[in-house]
Amino acid sequence: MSENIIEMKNIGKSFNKTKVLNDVNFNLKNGEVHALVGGNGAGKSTLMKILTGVYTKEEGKIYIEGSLVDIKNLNDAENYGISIIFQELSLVPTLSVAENIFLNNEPKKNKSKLINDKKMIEETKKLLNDLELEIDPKIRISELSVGYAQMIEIAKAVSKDAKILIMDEPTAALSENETTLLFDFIDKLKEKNVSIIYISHRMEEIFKITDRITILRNGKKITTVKTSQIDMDKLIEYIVGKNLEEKFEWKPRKNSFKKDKPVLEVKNFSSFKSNLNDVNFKLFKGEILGVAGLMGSGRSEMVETIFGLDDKKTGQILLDGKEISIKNAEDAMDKGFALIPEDRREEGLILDHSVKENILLTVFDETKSRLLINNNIGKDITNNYIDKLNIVTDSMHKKVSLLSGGNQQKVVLAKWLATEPRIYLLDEPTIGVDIGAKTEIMEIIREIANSGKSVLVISSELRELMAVSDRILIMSEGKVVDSFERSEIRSEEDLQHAIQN
Amino acid sequence: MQSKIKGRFRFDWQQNIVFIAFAFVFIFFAITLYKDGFLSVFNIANIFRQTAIISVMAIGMTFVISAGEIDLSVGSITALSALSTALVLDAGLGIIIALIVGLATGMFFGVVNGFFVSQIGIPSFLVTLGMMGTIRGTAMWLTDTKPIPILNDTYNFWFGSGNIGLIPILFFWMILIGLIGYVVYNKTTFGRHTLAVGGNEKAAKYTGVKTSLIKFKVMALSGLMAGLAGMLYAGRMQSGRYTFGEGDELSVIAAVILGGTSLFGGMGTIIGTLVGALLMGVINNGLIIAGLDVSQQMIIRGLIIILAVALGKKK
Repeated sequence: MSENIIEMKNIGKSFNKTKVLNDVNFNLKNGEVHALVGGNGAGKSTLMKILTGVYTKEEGKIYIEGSLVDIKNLNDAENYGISIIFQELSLVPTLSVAENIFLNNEPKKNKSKLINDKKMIEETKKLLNDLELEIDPKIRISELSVGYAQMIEIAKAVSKDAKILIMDEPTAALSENETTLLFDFIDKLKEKNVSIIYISHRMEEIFKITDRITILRNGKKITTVKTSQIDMDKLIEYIVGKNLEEKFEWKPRKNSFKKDKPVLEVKNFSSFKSNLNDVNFKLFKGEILGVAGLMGSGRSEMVETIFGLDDKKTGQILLDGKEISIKNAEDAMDKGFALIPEDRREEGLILDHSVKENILLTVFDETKSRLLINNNIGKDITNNYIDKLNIVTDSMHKKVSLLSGGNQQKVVLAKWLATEPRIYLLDEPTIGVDIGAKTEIMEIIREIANSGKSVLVISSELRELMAVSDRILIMSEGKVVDSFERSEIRSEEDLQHAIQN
Repeated sequence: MQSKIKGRFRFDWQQNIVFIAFAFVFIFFAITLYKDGFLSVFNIANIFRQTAIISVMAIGMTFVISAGEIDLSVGSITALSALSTALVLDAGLGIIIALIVGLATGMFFGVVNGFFVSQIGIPSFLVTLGMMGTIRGTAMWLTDTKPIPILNDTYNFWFGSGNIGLIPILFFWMILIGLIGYVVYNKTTFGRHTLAVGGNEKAAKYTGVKTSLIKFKVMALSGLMAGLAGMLYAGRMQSGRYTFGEGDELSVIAAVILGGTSLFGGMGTIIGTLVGALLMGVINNGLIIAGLDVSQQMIIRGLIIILAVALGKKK
């Protein structure tokens, strides 16, 4: 048997005459974890979609265990033992754990065409036990947290005797805890000689769990290296194609700000709906306040509640020292708040609308001259932001769903910048965007604060949080449990410890 | 971290409201209309007679709605199927041919709907909205709006008018189709995949479920059920007529949604659908016995449907 379980040779693919993959070679060894990295649009997803038969290749050959194969659809891929764990969960939320795991593979009562539910549930139990996941097979997926749903998704692949797992940003929606659990799980899979292709934007993870790394840029393979033989600077250089000096380093702020009167003060904030419990904090003019905490610590709930999206709250919000009440999102906007939500595809954007329509959504009234909408005003506003935030799009009329993650997020930012708020609430602003766009988004955050506005930013990427924040709040179980000046935090480990406790 | 994730026992209002509503309405009428004979054997049999045909269509519709689609053409299909059955019997071709023609009529339009929905990708709402008129028009044109009487007593007995003892034959049809529907919905791959397509089409597709085929099949099934419903109309009315089933699509959809099937797909129950159809039947029957005129019946029926669905939304 050949050492390579998969060999992809000279793969080529175009969309509308644009070459998206050009002469790409990719090998996967038995039992290795192989990172596939590159900026958005580098061709990672396309390559994997070819491997799983979602797209057809135009050039090249694929060998599995040494023999030439033709993968026409997902079923073919599955038959060759290839399973993909999708970025967007591929589970049916209305069906149970067991029903999902055995979807399209339902056990039958001896030779009849009827589904054997008992057997299905028993086998699910066995499988989950084997993977040390104590989850009730009968529970509906919609009742599980994202982290657990993902574990179920991997369990589903494992149940089909997958030999090759493709994981696309598997940790994007996971808390630190769940990530650790996933990594243990990956180790367990390696022991079972499962090979894993691991797509991620998170460098730390790649260095932590992968054996080799293949870097793609603009549809071409740059190189494949052993993880132990490359450092982060070099890797980032390969990905972006130039030396990106500013990466994620803390930059001293240009303007210092006074900490006398807070712009925003939140007192004794609790909510019946979520687990928020007596939250207190202050935010000053020109300050960037980071919020760290595990998933479920109440980070998102806190900003959503401030923004008026939760009507069952108690406590006070003081704006410039005066108590205000925010009843709904419109109210919050009127009072100078902006919320960039965590899930940009669901909550931040109207995906089928254009870049222009999305940006103008918050400021339609301003595009009116007299009674009617004046298209030129709207175009000016849009062009202004496309320039200012360096949004990469062929035209302002392009559907937002066709942009890369980073550019989508910039559209969300533009949409809120246009309302000229005083207080920005950013929930995971860099989630699922490539490293270049991350740097740009962090620069935008700094600029916002430099212009005298106040920013509250939630992030699971501690390194980024440390790079932009003047002060960091630690949240746990619905409370603000600690607060650090940036200068007090020596290393990421410090911060990590603070969160874990 | 290894906390056990268990399904908390939670009462599912959406799926169970129909039973509560049914019990409530039934008891209410039983008490208030007791003297008017609401509980008499004759009246109960009558409720089943009025409900059975809607139920048959509603079983098919449960699949359609569970897959996230809709079928507005079922009412029209019943008319054409009843007419074509009547014409075959009128021509003296016998019950077997009549049966084949009646079912084939329904199946044919179901297949046409399914083709446009799954192969051309037109939303089922639009396809069946269009077909609704086209099929009704065909039924009118077929006999130039004339009704066709059915003189075959065997047919009339077995397909709608007969009783076995005190029990109307339509009741048996309802139970038979309900049973088959229940097994197919809950115990077969087709049923499971229907729910998967309605719950998350993309996930189903990526799991290798042939989503287009499932959509095609549910539309075809709904047509077939409407075809059968038309034949039952023909047997019950002992004739075929282009007006049969007018407005039935709304009663059928209401029965399915009342029964706890999610209008957005992915979740549903066959038993709920049957009880939903019975609930509609009981309401109609009760209001008629109470002496309300048609306009009042319509007003109250509409309000009860909205109320029941709203209660089901309660968390």
